[in-house]
Amino acid sequence: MDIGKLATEMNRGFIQLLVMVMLDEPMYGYDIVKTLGKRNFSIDENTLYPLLRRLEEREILSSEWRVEENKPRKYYFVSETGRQVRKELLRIWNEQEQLLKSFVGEE
Amino acid sequence: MERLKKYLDDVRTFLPGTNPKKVDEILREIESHVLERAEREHGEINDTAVAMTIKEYGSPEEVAARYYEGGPIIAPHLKNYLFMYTGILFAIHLGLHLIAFVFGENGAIFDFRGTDLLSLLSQLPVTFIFDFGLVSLILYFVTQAKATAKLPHFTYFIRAEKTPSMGKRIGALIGSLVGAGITFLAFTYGPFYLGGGELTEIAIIALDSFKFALFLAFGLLVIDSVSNLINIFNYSRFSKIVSNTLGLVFLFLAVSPDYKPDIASYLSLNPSSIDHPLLVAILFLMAIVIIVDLVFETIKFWASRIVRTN
Repeated sequence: MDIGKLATEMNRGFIQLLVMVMLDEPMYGYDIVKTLGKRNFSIDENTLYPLLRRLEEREILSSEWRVEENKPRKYYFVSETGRQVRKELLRIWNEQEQLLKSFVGEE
Repeated sequence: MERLKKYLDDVRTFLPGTNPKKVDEILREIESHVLERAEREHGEINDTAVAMTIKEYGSPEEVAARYYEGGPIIAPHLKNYLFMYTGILFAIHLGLHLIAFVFGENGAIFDFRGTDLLSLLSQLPVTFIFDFGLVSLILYFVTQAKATAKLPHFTYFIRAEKTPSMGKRIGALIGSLVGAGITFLAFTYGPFYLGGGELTEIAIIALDSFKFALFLAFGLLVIDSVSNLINIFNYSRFSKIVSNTLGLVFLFLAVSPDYKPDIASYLSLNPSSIDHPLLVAILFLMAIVIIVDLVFETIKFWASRIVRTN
C-alpha cells in the first residue's frame, strides 16, 4: 500500500514543530534545508518556503532581511509567541509519543 | 535579469489576495530563492543560470499555488473564466428561454414569472445570478481538484484580432443604418405579392411572416446602429455584447404572448399567420443567429482578457 499521502499528512505537522525547534537562532530557507540534510532528513524547498511564510503570518516566526554575498536572504527565528506555542506543542507531542509507545509495546 | 522580472510579474498575476504589501513580500522571497538556487546549482548568478533555475522552480501558476493559504474558493487565474463562462451560459440560457417563447412556452429551464416587460427585465438578474452561481460552483470544484488547471478559453476566436480601423467602424454604422432604412421602407410599403389574382392562404402567411421578420430586423438594426455609433467614439466589445443582449430582450418582447398580438395587429397581420409554423421557423432562425452572435462576442471579450493575464 502506498503510504505517501498518509506520510505527507503526518509530516505537515511534524515539520512545523521541527522548524520551531530549530529556529532559536536565525536561519534562512536553504540554511534549514542544508542543516536537515546533514541529519539525513530531506525536505522539499517548495514545501518549506511557503510553510515558513505561513508560520510568520501566524506570528510564530519573525524574520529579517539581510544582504549576504550580494544576495538578499530572509532569516527566520522563533518569536515570543512561537516559543509559547512550541512549548505547548512539545507537551502534546510527548503525550502522544507516550501513548503510542504504550500501544506499540503491547503488539 | 529581465527574465526573472518577467517571471515574478507572471507569478504576481496568479497570487491571491489584494494586499500588495504581502504579495510584494512573497515575490521578494521567491526572487531570493531563485537567486540562491541559481548560484548553488550553476556556480554563479547569470542570465543562463537564472533561466534554467526558473524552469526547474516551476510554472508561475504552480509557484503561486504553493502560497494559497487554506486555498481560495476560486483560484485567482480562473476568475476571468468565471465571467466568460457565466456570459456564455447566460447567453445560452436566455436563448433557450427565447426559443421556448417562440414555441409558445413560458421558460426553458425555469418558468418566467410573467411575460410582460417588467417580468422579463426582473428575470434577467435572476437568470444571471443562477448562471453565475452554477459556474462559480464548477470553478470551485476545479480549484479544489487542481488549482493550476488550465481551462479552454477559445484563443481560436481572438487570433489575428485587431481593433477595426475608423473606416471600418464608420462603414459598419452606415451599413446598419442603411439596413434599418431598407427594412423600415420594406415593412411600411411592402412586401407586395407580385403574382396576379387572389392570394392563397400560404401566400398570405408567407407575406405576413416576412413582414414580421422585417419588423424584427428593423428593431435589431436600430439597436445595432446605436452600438456602432458608440463604437466610433470609443471602440469596445462590451457595447456589442450590450447591444446583442438588448436585441435579445427586444426579440423576447416581440414574441412574448403579451405583446405579439399587438405587434401583429399593428403590422396588420392575418390572425392565422401569428402561430403558423412558417413564422415560428423564421423567429427561431433569428433567435439562433442573435444567440450565436452573443456567445461569440462574449467569448471574444473575455478571451482577450484571459490571454492578457496569462
